[in-house]
Amino acid sequence: MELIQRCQAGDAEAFATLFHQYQRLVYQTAYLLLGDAQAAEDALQEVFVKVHRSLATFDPAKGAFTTWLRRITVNHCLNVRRRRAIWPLSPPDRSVLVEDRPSFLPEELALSREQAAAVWQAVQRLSPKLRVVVILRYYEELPYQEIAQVLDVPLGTVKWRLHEALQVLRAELESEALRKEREKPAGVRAPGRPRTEP
Amino acid sequence: MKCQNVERMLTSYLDGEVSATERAEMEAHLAGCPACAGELADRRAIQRQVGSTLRAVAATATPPPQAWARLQARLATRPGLSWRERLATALVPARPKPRLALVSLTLVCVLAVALAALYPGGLVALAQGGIERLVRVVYLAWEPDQPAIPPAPARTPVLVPLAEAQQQVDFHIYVPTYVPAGLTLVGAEVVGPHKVLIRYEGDGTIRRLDLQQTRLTDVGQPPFFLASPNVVKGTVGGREALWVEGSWPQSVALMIWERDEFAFTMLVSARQPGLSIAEATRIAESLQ
Repeated sequence: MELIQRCQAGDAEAFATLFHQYQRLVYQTAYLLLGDAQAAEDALQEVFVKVHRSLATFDPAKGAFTTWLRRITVNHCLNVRRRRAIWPLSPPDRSVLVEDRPSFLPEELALSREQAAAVWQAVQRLSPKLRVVVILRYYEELPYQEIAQVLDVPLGTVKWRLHEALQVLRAELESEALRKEREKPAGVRAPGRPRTEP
Repeated sequence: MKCQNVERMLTSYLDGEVSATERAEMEAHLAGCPACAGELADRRAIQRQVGSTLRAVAATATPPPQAWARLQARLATRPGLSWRERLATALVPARPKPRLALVSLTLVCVLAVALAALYPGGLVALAQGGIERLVRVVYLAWEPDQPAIPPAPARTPVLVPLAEAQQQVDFHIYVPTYVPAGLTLVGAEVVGPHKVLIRYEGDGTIRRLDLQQTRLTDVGQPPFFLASPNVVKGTVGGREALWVEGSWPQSVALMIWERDEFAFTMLVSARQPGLSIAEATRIAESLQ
C-alpha cells in the first residue's frame, strides 16, 4: 500500500515499480480477453495511462488495488471488443493456435494439444460477459465476491454467468468432439458399444 | 434437494462457493443420485481443462520489453486525454443511446452558434474553406477548455518531389504501396519538422487523396477535428482507427489512425460513391 501512496503523491519512481509489478497481470488478462498480442499491448498502455491519470481517485478503503486495476483492464477490453463488433472490417480474433506454441509444461499435458486448442477456441467464442467471468475465475482464480467487485455486478450474477459459461463450453466441446469423431475414417473410429448380432 | 437445484449449483459447489448447509444437502443428494454425480464429474473435468488451457495460453503471453519506454513517452507527451481519446469519447457510437442523441443535438446547436460566430458568410464560405475548417469549429465546440484555434486559412500546399521532402525531415516518410488505379503521386509537402503531407490526384471517381503523417509528440492539437454522426471505429494494422464521412461540397472521407510514433490522417475527396472503407484500410495498411 505504501507503493500506491507514493504513486498518489506523484513519485515517478514508484509508478515505474508499480508498472513493472502489475504489467504482467494486465497484459495477460487483456491477452486472454482479446486473443491478440497487439491488442493486449495497446490495452497495457491504455490501462496504465488511465491508472496514471486516475490513481488519485483510488480509495483503498473501497477495495484492493488489484480489484481496481482489474476493473479498469476488463472495462477497457470489453470496450475494445464492443468497438470491434461494430466495425465491419474488424479482423477476426487471431486465435492463439495452441498447436503453434511450445509444448506445455508436463503437468499441463493431462490435456492434449488438440483438446487445449479446442478449449481455447470454445473460450474465445463465449460472449464477452461469460468469457470475462471464466478468465477471472479459472485463470486468475478469484473468489466470486471479488469477481462481483471487479465487474460491479451482484454475486448472484457471477454465479449464474459461470454456470451458463460452463454449460456453453461443455456443449461446444461435445459438439466439437462429435464432429471430429464423424470426420474420422470408419476404420479408426472409436469402437462404440458392442452390438448384439441378431 | 431436487436434481434441478443440484445441477444449477454444481459450478458453485466445485468452486467452494456454497454455504455449509447447501454443501451438506448437495453431498447427501450426490451420494444417492448417479446422474447428478456424473454431471458433477463432467463439470469438474471442464473446469480443469479450462483452467489448464488458460494458464498455458497466458504463459505464452509476455509483455513486450519496450512497454515501459512506450508508456513513459506517452505520459511525458500527453499529460491529459489524447486527441484520439477525446475524439472517441465525443463521437456518436454506431448504436446511439438516447442520452448521446441529446448530446449530439446539443453539439449540433453549439456548432450552429459557432458557425454563425466564426463564419458570418455561412455554409457556402465553409464549403469553400473545406472540411478542415469545419472540424476545427466542431472541435472548439466540444472542447471549450482548449485554447481557441483560429480557423486555418485555405491554402495550397507547396509540393516538392517525395525524395526532396524525405531529405528535409529526420524521420521516414511512409508511402502506400497500394493506391487505387487512376491516382498519381503529385508530390509532398513538409509542413514542419514533425509533419509531412503527400498528395495523390486522379481524374476518376477519386479527385484527391492526402496522406498526412504527424509525429505523436507534436500532436498538441488534434491532426483533424471532425465530428460527424457518420463515424465508424475500427482498426488499421490491429490498432484503433476512426473513419468519418461527410459531403462538403463533394464526397469527403477521413480516416485517422496511429502507427509507431506517428498519427496518420487520410483525407479523400471524391465524386460519389467515393472510396470505400475497405479500400481506405487497404491503403492505410500498405504504408511502408
